[in-house]
Amino acid sequence: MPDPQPRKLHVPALPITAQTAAEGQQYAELHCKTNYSFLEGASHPDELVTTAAALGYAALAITDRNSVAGVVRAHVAAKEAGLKLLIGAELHPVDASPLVVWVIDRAGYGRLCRLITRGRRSAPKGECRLTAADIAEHAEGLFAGVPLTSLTDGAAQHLIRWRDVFGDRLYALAELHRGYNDTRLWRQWQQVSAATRVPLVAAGDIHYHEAGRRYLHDVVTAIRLKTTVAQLGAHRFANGERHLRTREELADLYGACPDTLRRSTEIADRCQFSLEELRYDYPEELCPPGETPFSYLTRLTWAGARDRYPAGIPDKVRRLIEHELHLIEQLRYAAYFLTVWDLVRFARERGILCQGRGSAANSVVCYCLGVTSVDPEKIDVLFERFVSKERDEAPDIDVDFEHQRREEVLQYIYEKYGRDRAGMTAEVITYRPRSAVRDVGKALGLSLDTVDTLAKSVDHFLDQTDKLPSRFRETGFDPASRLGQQLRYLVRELLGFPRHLSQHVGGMVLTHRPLCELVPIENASMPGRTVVQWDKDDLDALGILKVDCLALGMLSAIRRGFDLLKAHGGPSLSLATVPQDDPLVYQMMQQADTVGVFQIESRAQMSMLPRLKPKEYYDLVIEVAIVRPGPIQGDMVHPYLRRRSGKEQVTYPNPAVEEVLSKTLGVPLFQEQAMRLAIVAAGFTPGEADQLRRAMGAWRRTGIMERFERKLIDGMTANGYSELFARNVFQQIQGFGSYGFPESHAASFALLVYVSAWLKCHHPAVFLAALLNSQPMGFYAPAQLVADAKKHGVEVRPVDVNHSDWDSTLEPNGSGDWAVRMGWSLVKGLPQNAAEALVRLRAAGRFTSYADFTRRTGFSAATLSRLAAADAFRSCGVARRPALWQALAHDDQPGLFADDEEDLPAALPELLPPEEVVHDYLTTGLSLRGHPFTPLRPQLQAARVVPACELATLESDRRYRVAGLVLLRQRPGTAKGITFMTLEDETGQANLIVRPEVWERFRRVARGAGALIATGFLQRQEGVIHLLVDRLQDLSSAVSPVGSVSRDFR
Amino acid sequence: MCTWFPRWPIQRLYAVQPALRRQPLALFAESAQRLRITACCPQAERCGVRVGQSLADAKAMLSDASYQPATSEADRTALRELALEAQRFTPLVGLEDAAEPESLFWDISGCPHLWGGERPFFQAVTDYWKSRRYTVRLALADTVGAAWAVAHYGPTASLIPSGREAAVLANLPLAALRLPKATLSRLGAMGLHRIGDVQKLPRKSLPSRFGAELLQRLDQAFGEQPEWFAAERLQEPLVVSRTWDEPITDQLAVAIVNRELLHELLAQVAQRSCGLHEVRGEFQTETKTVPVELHVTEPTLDEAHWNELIALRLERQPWPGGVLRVTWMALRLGVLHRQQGTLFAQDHAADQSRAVHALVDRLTSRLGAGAVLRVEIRPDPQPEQAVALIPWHQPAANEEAPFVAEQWRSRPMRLLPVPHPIEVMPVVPDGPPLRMSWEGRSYRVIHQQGPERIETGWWRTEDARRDYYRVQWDDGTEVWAFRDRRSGGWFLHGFFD
Repeated sequence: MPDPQPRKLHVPALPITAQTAAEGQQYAELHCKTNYSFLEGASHPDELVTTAAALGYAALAITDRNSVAGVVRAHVAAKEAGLKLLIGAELHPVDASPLVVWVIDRAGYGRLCRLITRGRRSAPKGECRLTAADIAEHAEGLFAGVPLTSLTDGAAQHLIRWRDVFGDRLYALAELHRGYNDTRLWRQWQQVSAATRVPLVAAGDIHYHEAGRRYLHDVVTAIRLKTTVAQLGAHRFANGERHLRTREELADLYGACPDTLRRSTEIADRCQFSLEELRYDYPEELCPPGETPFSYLTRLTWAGARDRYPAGIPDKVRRLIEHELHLIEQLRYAAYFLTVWDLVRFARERGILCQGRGSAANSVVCYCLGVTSVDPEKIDVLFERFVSKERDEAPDIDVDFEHQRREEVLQYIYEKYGRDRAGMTAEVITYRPRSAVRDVGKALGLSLDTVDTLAKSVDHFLDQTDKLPSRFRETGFDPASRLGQQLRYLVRELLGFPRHLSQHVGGMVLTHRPLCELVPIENASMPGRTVVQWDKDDLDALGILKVDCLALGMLSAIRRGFDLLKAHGGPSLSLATVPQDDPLVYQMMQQADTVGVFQIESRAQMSMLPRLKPKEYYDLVIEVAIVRPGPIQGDMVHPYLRRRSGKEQVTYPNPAVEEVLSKTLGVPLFQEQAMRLAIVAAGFTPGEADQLRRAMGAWRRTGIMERFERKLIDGMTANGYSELFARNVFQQIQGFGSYGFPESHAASFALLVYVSAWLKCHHPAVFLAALLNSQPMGFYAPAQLVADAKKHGVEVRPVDVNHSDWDSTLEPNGSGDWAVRMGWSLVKGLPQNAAEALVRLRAAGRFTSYADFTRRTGFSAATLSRLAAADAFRSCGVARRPALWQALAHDDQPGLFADDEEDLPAALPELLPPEEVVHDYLTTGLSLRGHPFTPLRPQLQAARVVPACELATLESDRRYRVAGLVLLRQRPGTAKGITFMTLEDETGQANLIVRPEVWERFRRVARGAGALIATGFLQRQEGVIHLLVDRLQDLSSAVSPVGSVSRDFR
Repeated sequence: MCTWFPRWPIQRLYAVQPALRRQPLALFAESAQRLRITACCPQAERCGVRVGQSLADAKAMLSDASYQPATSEADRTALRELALEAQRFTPLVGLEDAAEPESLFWDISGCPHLWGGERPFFQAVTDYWKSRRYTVRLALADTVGAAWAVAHYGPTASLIPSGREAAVLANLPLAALRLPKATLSRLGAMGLHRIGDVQKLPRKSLPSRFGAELLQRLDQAFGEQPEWFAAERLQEPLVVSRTWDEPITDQLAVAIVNRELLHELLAQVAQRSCGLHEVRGEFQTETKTVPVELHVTEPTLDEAHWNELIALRLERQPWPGGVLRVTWMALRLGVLHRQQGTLFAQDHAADQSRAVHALVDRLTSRLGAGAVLRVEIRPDPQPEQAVALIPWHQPAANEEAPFVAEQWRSRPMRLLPVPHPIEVMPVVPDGPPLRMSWEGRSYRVIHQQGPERIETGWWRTEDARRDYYRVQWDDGTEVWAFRDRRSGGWFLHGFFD
């Protein structure tokens, strides 16, 4: 078994290779699987490429099983290592022997993709069904090799059959692995080759880059076959020879016939295709005839600029536009910008609210095209910082659409470009610590519940893998035992391995030529959905056009807000025309009165607001970006706050850094700043800085991270920075890796923050209705949104058969303002079609009685019970319980007995007001009558529990007790084990801080209770109020019917 | 009468492993692809463990508890055994009709007077379970439903006098009526919580609102509708025996008795349309009982075969002194393999296999199971693990490797049980062997083939990494030797004789 110490790469040092390169036989490996042949290959593509290069191979072919999913990664690595890469695949037709094919030219590549697409599309997700006839149809432009080891008998017939298809482009692969019968096989193969006149060529059937991976290979095989390593039996290779072998070894093995080695390089020489040829395949039909994409884009941009600046285009903007257009022309991005513009145009025509963000989105051109609504005057736009000539990568624009209507946009794309030119990008699901522990544990034969416990003990991905031993020890599993060491070693190796392809949330790839000739398309798990075999990084690396169409709940809410405003006599607004820089809005935000506001409604954001005191737009950009793992892990938040409040002097080590950091007072807060800092202060090239960012995101331990860490810290200390500062910057980049939040995204988000805050501030009723109709979204449940709106004087009315629509609506409240009428969407379990039928029938006149209602609607007993339980018959003069009594009787025969109104039995108990509240919670998740805690108040008072609202005025640093429903439990990875809880009573909310030792002592209550009493010291600091808890007491039974409403650890 | 064993799965485990009482205990089972708690002891519950919770959550609440997999089948079987045990009080005791039963129903009509009335009877039952260290709740009532309701929700140890059911039941929660959850929540929504609440409502208004089961359960509890339960019945064991007043020492006489008894036993087995698979004999002498256990490869009714097996066994296992009593009992029955014969052809294959089975049975009964072995080929690359000798009767491992003639041709006829270190002179460090020393003699290698590389076994013991060579010495001996790639040492592993 492997040593627990990290092992070195089993690649001979370069001098030896150089020597053997001079003497040894030239060789190209033609049959090699990566870990993109899921759970078959046991090495990353780049590991294979680097090793092949170090071994002095002439070329390496990547031939995954029915797939080219791993080739882009291999391509990138091969470019760097200077190795020739062949693209191919291992095909397994259902009616013939397996076959390895290699691409000769672009047309052949297109055919291979088409072929794999056909096989993948006619099989369930993850599988591929090909026939020999399919392969014959696409054989042109491909070389083929038949692995002879896969043929037990009748090898000659198989070879002849394939020879008829491929002619002289067919080879027989001789693959020797030091088995028991090598000599005999060798003899047989030579006979077959001579008899069929199909030349023999040496190959390796490679499954991993170095021999030490055979342990992991055994494990992934066991995972694939859903068994344990011990029970693999014949499915295990007898030795670890399926790795990339040195050329000396090969010369020894194939010494009897060196021609077989030579032929491998001949094939490699004749394959002239490179993935580079796929670049710039952008759709072109968007520009009208007679124009080039660039001339059309220029025209659109200037026209847009005139609309944006009716008073005349400012000089600064004019210069910027000219500059950006110049860059776009140079980089040939015009078609890309046009594509994005077209999507946004479509959405606007349909009244779908959308907004672009991302590096390229923060340009004046995008502002003029209407892709973004952030006035470039507001933020300092520097286009090159996002789209650089030297980095040579595709521009990045994500477009957010209303979450309930994004599907329309996707349909438009499919309609416009056709299914054969548009597709969803894949998302490669990789092994995370938890899934790796789970699968490896099972493969090693650990019992189900041990695996479960171990896996649960490994927290999500913020955790570092070095913590594995201590995590294991906590669960009573000895990490130093043999099994423990094996588990740790294998888990570390498996981390970052791809498991399967899934569908990216919104990435669309668009091409000029048929998409299936660019990359194979396969079935996704959702029926009817397809996904390409590459993820967004792959497409990025090749410069293929992709647009991320994402769904954003707040955009739905804002659009609904705008619509409601307009429909009820307000102004007609858009994202760009909402009155800007309104001091009232900022004042509201400074007081952390932001329930429901985009992004800044979380508890962490709310506690930041009074400290940061946003006064202008750019402050919001910072606010959005600052409460993130990056700045927190990098310990950048407090320095920034100190500098902002003037408690610390703003200094810069040198002018170059000042340029990077001046707008954030010398503290790097954004991803771009950290990257720039790596360049300016540590001497990284832009390419390296970008590599660093990518390396952070992936779960890899190839040593890249350590190398970059060293380089960054050395570079920065050499330039006169403190090591501490350098380390913090590195930590921050590390934090960004998993949760990247660049300024270019924050800038667009900040606009939504402002607009939603503006709505809340000036039109709270509209805001509430819009939020309720866009559920589920955001941080708070309808109950809290309603409670907050009521605090701001909004009247909220209950659901009623004579007043409610499916959506919540606005009704005049009699004093010139609007009240919110709750809609049926809030009633749990009420089908939408029933609710809509109800509204339709009501158009003929209001329902006068319960009997009238049942007769006219003919609803089933189940639907009537839902309505009755929700207390929706008040306007018919029927209370909740009598209505329910009648509804229950309806049985399955609607209408039959509708007329016999039965009297309520006298023995049926009346509902008491507190019970009504409980039933409100059960049916709609909130109550307008009161709070479950209202009836408890006298008892609570007797127990010296203070109402939550009083915490704001009580003397701090003294002990108090509060009680409430638990709304939320959170333990951010950055908070050193501290848990944040929020309680709600009838007067408001109270924020608790529970330290680990307190949590441990009151674990049961802390973790499980739906309601509790907390005792602790009151802390008040810069407007932030917390109770530092030292005692918890269970109160669940007092409100048990309400159950738990808490959103825990999301 | 109803006896409820609260948290029965827990109680059952306590009975089997009393040591479990020392710490909190919870049971789990897999449901909906997650491991969930199915039962827990009161102590665990006080610490926050709940039924239905996921196992990981429970462990987070309470780490120093014992978590055991639940076995509902064993729980049911054990409860059934208790029902049989309880038949010392009344002949009719059965399990409640539930997915995971925890209660026993007793029909005690005509029994209490044997104990001197209901109260002493009740006390005797209570004491009986207490002495067996079971926690039970008992209730005695006129109907099954009422007894169940009171046992679960009434005051402890309730003896409801005949005719008083109505008053007691009215105060119990509706859950005491054994109603489905959906019905209970619907009743709860109407503010109906006790049985009495429902009784006050017009009877005809109930079924359409709450389902027919409500009325049925109500009526069963109040004795308006009869309710039955199935009493457990003991499967009669197949036992035959002979007893003498004077000890018999004559082996022949015993043999004759054995034959007779076996004949009777087989006749009884035949009545059940089964074959006899496993049998146990007991020879009681004046001082002790000598047991004999026998089993055959295939269940059979072949009297001659059984007689032969018994004779062979007794040859090997004589008993001292005279025998007072001989007992034979069937331990296991099996399906009889009857095959339809063809009219004329002789079914050689079947006959042969039967003959082999008979031989194996004979040998096994004479020599013991450990002496009659067969070879199993295992799909393991490591040569010493590729073959195993296992008792003939032991079922095959779930994947026996197919016999690949070619592979076995490359293996030596004689494999040393353990590789033997040997001195070897290769020219290059990793090269083939040139000269070998074995048992004090040095041999020149005149021919060698290889290496065959075998790397495996890391999950089992140490990682075996070997390069095997097939080597011919100058005296003609062909051996199989390998170089250990970890240590570089050479080992001799077999001879091609």
